[in-house]
Amino acid sequence: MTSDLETDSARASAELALVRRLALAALEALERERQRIDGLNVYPVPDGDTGMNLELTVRALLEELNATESSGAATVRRDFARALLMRARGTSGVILSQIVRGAVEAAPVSGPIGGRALATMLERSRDAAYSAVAKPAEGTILTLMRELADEARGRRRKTLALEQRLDALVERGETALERTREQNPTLSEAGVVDAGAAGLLVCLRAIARAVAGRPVTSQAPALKLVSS
Amino acid sequence: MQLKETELGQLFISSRAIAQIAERSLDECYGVVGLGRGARIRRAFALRRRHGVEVSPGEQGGIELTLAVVIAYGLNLAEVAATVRSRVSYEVERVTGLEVARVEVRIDDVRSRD
Repeated sequence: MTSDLETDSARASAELALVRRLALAALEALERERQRIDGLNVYPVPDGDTGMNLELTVRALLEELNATESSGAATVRRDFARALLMRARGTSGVILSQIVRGAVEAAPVSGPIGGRALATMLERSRDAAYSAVAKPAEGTILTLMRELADEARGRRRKTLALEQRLDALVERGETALERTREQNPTLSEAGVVDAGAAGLLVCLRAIARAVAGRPVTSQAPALKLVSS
Repeated sequence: MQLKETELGQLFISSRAIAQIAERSLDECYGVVGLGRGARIRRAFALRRRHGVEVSPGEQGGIELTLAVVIAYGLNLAEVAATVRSRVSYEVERVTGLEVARVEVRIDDVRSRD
């Protein structure tokens, strides 16, 4: 019994350390890209706050993660879910928190994340994100999330390292992001891609780099966010 | 009936039309999974109501909207209400040119979509 608890506790702190590292990578990337994301925000309300909302949401998450004591995997996940609910900011932040919640709930309790687990996590993210809107518009962060889930599902049986899977997701995400420009008339008119989708891709790319042990700070090549 | 002065004459936009515009934009609001039933039944004959949307003249000009909505379970209600307010007032102002002076958001229920 005691050893079970100890194992759970060790697992929880390892999981917590990993999630903290990934959240930090995402936050740093959002800090760098925030103004550009804000500049894309013409839909649904052109108030230029998408980048800020995403950054504040991820920062709040990281604060909660840093304040959490790792007393057990279940407790950590529960605290995390509550933090996601309470501290999401703006529509993009609320959607991002649904995406993260879905992935965390579906993450395997132990062991490495293989193709099937990754596909399940992203499908849960997609379902959580879509579950809270009556009529989802195309060309948004939701569209991007759906394409990522499709990509993960398509490759779930292939023998690939997690790094390779994440790289493939980033690539698919870039194509999907570029397509948002044509999927929504407001975006086409302004000649921009969707701000929320761009923000999600910034987070994903940062996470992929962090998992692969590549420096997160040199995010090249820069996204072609605005058509010239 | 709401009035808007233009150079070439007056434009009348019915409360029903305004409510329709608000309702369409509510459907796409993140977090909104349904419309409420609208509360002020006694005013039903005085003002046009469409499902969850009530339109009335603002006390100091413009229009006031009351939105009765059902929000997805598990979301931060205050945050969803704030984004609903900003999205619907932006959309109604954009389409009608009328000033939206006030938006009341009333959460009638919380439920899962499926």
